[in-house]
Amino acid sequence: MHEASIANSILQIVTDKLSTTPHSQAARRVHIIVGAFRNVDLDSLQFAFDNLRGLYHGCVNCELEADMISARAICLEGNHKYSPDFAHAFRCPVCQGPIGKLLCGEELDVITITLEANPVEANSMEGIFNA
Amino acid sequence: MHESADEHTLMRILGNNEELAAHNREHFDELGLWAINLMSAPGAGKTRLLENILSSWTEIKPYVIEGDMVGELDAIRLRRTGAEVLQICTGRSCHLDAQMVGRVLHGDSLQGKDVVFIENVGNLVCPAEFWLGEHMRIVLLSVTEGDDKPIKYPVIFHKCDAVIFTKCDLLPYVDFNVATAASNVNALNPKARIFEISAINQQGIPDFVSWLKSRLVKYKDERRSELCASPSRPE
Repeated sequence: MHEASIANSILQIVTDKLSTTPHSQAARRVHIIVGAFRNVDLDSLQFAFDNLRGLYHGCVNCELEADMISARAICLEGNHKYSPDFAHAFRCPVCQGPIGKLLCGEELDVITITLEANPVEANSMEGIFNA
Repeated sequence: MHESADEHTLMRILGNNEELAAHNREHFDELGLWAINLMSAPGAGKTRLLENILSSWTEIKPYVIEGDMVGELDAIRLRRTGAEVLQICTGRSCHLDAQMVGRVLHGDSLQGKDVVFIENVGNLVCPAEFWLGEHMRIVLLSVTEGDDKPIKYPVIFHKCDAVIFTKCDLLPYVDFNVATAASNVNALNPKARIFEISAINQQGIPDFVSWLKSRLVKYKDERRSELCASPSRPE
C-alpha cells in the first residue's frame, strides 16, 4: 500500500510548512489534488493519513481534503482532445487512436495548507498568513 | 477558535523522491552506468529473464539491485550467473523508492560496471509511482496473467519504454491473445517496444538482448556527446 508512503510525504510537507511559518502551532487542513492517471486510491490514502497524522508534530487534528482530477489527453492519430477511460480501453472515442499526450491527470500535489495560529501570539500577528 | 489562514503552497507530494531519484541519475551518469528498472506482477519472470540476459550478454559488466519484501532467494539465483548482486529487503513496503536505491549506490561496487539492472518488488501498481533514477523502464506481463492487464493497470504500462510478454511457450494452453494484449499496450503507450519471449525455449530472447545492446550503445554515445559538450571537461 504505497498510499502510506504518500501520506507520510504529505505530512512531512505540512510539518515543514509549520516549522517555517512564524507563530503557527498546528495544521488544521491540507488540500491536495490527485490525477486520475496516478495509482492512488483516495480511501486508502485517507485511511493512511488518519492513522499517521498523530506521529507528526502539529498534525494530530489535521484534516485531509483530496480532489481527484480527471485525465485529459490528445490522441495520436486525430489530435482529438478526450478523456481516456477504461470503457474505451483508453483510446480516443472518435478515431480509436492511442494516447498521444496526457494533458492532465498525473497531478499529485499539495495545494493549500491551513495553519492555526498560536493563541498567545495571535493578537499580535494579524495578517501574517495573508502576506 | 484560534486564527487560521490558508497557505497556498503548490508542492509535488513525491517531490522528495524525485529529487533523490535525480541524484541517483546523476550518480549513474557520472559512473557511465545505464540503469534499467524491471517491473511486473509477482511471478511474471523478472528473475528468470535476468538470468537469461546475464548468461547471454557476457560483454557487459553488470550490477544487479534486487528488490524483495523478504529474503534473498532471487539474489542467490542471480549470483550463480557470476553477477554482483545486492539485495534490498523492503520489509512492509510494496515498492523500491529512490532513497532505498540511493543508499546502495555509493560503495565501490559500482566502479567499472556498465549496466545496473534493478529488479523491483513484484507489483503492477505501486512501483510505477516511484522513479528510482533509471534510464529505462521495462514491464513484464506473463501470458498466464491475461491480455487485459494493460487496461486494468494503465499507469505502469503508460510509463514504460518496453513491454515483454513472457512465458509465451504457454500460449497454446492459456486464454491470452497476443494481438489484443499488444493493442491494449499500444492504446496507452504507442512508443513502447513489445517483445514476446519464452525463457524455456529461448524464443525472442536474442532479439530482446540485441535491442538492449543497441540501447546501451545509444546511451554511451549520448553520454560521450554530453561530456564533449561540457565546458568543465579537462583539456
